[in-house]
Amino acid sequence: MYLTILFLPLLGFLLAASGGRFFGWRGTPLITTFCVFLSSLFSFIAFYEVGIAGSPCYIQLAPWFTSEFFDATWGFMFDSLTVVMLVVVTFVSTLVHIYSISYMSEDPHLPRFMSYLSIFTFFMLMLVTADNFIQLFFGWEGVGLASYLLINFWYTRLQANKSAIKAMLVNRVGDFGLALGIIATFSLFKSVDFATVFACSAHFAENSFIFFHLEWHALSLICALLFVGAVGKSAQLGLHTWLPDAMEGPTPVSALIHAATMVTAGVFMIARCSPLFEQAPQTLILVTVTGALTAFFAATTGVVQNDLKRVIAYSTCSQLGYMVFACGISQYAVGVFHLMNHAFFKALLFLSAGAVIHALADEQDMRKMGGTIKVLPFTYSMMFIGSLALIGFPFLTGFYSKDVILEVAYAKYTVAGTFTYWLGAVSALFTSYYSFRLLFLTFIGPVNSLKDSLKHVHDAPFLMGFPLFLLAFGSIFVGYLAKDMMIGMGTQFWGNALFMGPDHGLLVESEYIPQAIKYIPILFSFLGFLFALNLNLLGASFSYSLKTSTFGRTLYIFLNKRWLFDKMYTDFVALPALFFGYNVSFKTLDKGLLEIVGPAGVIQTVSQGGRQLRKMQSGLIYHYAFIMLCSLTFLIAFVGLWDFFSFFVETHLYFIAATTLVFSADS
Amino acid sequence: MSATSVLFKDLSSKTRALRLYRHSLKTCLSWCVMRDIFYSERDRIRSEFESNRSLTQSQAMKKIEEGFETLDSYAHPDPYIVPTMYGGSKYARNPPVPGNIHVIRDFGREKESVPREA
Repeated sequence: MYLTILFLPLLGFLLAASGGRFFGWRGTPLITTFCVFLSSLFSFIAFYEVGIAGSPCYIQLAPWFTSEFFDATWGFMFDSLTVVMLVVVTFVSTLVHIYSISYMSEDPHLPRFMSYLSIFTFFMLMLVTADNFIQLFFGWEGVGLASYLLINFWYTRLQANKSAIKAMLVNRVGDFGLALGIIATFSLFKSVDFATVFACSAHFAENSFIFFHLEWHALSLICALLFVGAVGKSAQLGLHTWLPDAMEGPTPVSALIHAATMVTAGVFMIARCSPLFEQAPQTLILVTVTGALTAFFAATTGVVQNDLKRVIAYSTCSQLGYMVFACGISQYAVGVFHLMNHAFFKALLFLSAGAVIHALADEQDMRKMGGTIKVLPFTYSMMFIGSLALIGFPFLTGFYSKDVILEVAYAKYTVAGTFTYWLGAVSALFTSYYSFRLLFLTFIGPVNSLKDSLKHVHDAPFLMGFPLFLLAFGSIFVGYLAKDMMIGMGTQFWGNALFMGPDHGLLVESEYIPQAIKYIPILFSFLGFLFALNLNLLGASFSYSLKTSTFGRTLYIFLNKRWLFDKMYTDFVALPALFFGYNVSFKTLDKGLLEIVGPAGVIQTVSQGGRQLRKMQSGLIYHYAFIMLCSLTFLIAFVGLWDFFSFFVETHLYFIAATTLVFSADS
Repeated sequence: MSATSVLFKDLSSKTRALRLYRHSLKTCLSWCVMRDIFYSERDRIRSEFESNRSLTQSQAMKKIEEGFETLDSYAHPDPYIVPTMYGGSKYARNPPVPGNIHVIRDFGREKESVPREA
């Protein structure tokens, strides 16, 4: 059963990719959705067996790389962390498959779309079930590829091409860090197997490592490199630029990949490697600060976005920041709990946004919406539930994880902890602001839509509405139901899946922080609601004069343009790289130097030399005598002055040249 | 000369004034979310243009240039674009196939599988 969970989506992909045209618009969605649904069903059984009944499962399927110490097998590990991810991935994927049947029904490439969704699910399952770093990397790259294909699904759109390439390139930077981290892990532990590496992590806690001619604390360096991978995949500050642009893909893709599952892979990887991160306190501070800055940055950027999907994308980025800084303060269980909760309400938000976009003839700009509460009451209800869960409204799903994250951050009582608490609390204000702004502009405010958008307006059909209903159910109850199991005092749920240092427990401490500190996030959320109400609904003219004032415009542009990160990358990274690529490596080296000393240059030189040499064949004996005299003089002079010339001549070159000749002759 | 003004430098003053007016309204529409605010702003912009109707040619050219500079300073970082227009979120998505090619969605159900007109 356990392996079936993984391979059913692969089977769905193979059938859809190879026979999509044959199975048609009815068969392909049916096959792929059924495969993923079965996978989801088995995942719930696995969750019961492993998570609740406490019976982890470990399967070694086949050898993959076996070379001396390097031994990476196809192995699958089903522990508590894995089954939580399995449930999240397969459940959301099933709902997205069902949703897509209706959402993409008019698209001429529906079979291709369904096959991409299935292959993504397969790679994501490979990632979360991996028992070694190499297999994790396989899944990691696989989901990157699936993400690229899905962002570029409408490949006739130039913007989609650009966004997909951007996602691929930015992720490659992170993946390079991850690859280095895995190499460094192997170099230190002589193994890439999780069980071996994690068991030995305490043993290597004091080791150092030479990297770039500098001596580093080995585990800090390894964790920092692994974290670079997480920064790329989970869109943390610095490598976040791809995520908002990834909204070019169809909305179900945004819900599945860029909200609920793939972007959480970084958080999963940090949680998976908790035994390593716990031995690297400096890296944990880096993780904490990066997460907090991401949460703050993305929340501030989200408040002035006008594209419905982009607002939710920045919200995702911000919530990922929360998860990462929860891991940074060693509360991996809280981070993963928020990951699970977030998957429900964010998928709900994205799919509801898709329902709005679908209803309004693909209009995505919130400035051209408004008043849709009357025509889309169901969608509004779903989005309202999702937004409340997101802002941490008491007793909804988000409340149980988000507030705990902020409380444990404060209970850390360190500079980094307090810093993250305040950034997180202020981010809660912005989160509340943009969530209610989205609701006001899209549903409640006056109608600003174009006539064409409202021509065929309709609420979500059953196939789109049913997934929303299930996700709304999750957004209300999952936090409450799973709280004690996942982050309760003394819970045995995680077993050995997560490791926390004996002096890093904060859950007890967080119960004793001042009561006012506990109220601050809720108070800030309420303030956010008031600001949203006053600036977007009641005092819209004040809001207009505020943002069109000189300072207002500057701030608006700064935030709307994402703190000008993209411009900075373009000016200082992309353009210099393009300049180097064209002027230096292409024009100067490829077309210049290599053409002169390379084959073209050799041919030209030899033929020119030959022409010159021909002129010397004059047939006059005294010409030949003169040349022989000159040559002899030169040879004698050269031999006589060898002591001087030998200083400039590298004799090893003769050996290399001679060896090359011999091997060339052999070949 | 402002960036937008350069685009229309070869046009007559009257056409440039028209372009300036049109672009002012479009820019204003990107900043305003509510229509009532836009209507009042539209009236204000219109009255400003009307007040300059009787200017001489040289004064008008100077005024138009100032107008373009003001327009540039109010350029929206994320202007509204109709989804199906160039730069919009639906532009070039699944361009129509040539007339002699038919997309068969389900073999055996050729008649039912003709895509619905958008």
